[in-house]
Amino acid sequence: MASVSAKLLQFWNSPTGPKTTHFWGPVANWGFVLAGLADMRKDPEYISPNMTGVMCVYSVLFMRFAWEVKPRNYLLLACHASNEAVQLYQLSRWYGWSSSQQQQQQQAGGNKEAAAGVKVEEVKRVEAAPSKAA
Amino acid sequence: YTFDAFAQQHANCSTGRYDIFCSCPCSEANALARYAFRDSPTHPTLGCLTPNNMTIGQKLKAFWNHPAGPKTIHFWAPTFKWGISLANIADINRPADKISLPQQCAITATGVIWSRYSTQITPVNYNLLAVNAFMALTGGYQLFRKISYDMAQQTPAATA
Repeated sequence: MASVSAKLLQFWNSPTGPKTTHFWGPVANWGFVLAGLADMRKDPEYISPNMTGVMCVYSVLFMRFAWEVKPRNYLLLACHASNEAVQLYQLSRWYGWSSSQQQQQQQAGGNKEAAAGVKVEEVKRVEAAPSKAA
Repeated sequence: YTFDAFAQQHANCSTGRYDIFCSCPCSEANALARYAFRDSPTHPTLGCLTPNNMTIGQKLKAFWNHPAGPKTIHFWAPTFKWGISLANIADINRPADKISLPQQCAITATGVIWSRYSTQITPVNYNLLAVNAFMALTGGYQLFRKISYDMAQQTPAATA
């Protein structure tokens, strides 16, 4: 049974530990996850589909990279797994918002057409009426 | 003239290795390896070749078969990281009020930190440095747009 201090020492001296870039690089990448979490409650119009789509592919690739690299980097793997989840969620939120926007535009376009059609009929009636009256 | 005879004669070659990554200073060894042992059945590698005396075809083959080459994730994962910078460039005309401040902060910070680290690892990874430097630049530009927009929004409210 390793004691807590022994485990801490093992972590401190590990090849992917806090003395190496294998640790601090992934820590920097957690910034993506935190940014995604910060954006979760905001209006979907703030989500960039370009960036979010790229992040989804990027995190899949880096999960595989973290698994295959020597030494195996579980911290990086965890970081990109959570980033993948967050970015997929954001992408689905954006997609839902974007398709509802398109529906609204189509309806508005339809309303405009209906309104224009009504106006054209009115004009025709008005033109016909004076001629009738005259 | 077998590979063993060749190895015996060039036993004083600096690295003692006869694979594609050796840097044998003996030009005769290089020449012989290139022409005599390229397709040797006992040595599937290309013999004692250096980048200085490899043909384009041999270089491409070396790249294709490299342990960090295009058949591996070690190549594609860092290569795809360019996508983040390209997405930022695609968004260059996105209205500034729609930019996500936390995301651009994360991109810029990651770019800066990784640019530094790619110069501190062994070997220095210039590809990684380039990717992350570009990420920091594009992220920084989007941050600048967002922050100047936010500040412009605040001043009329402050005066009003």
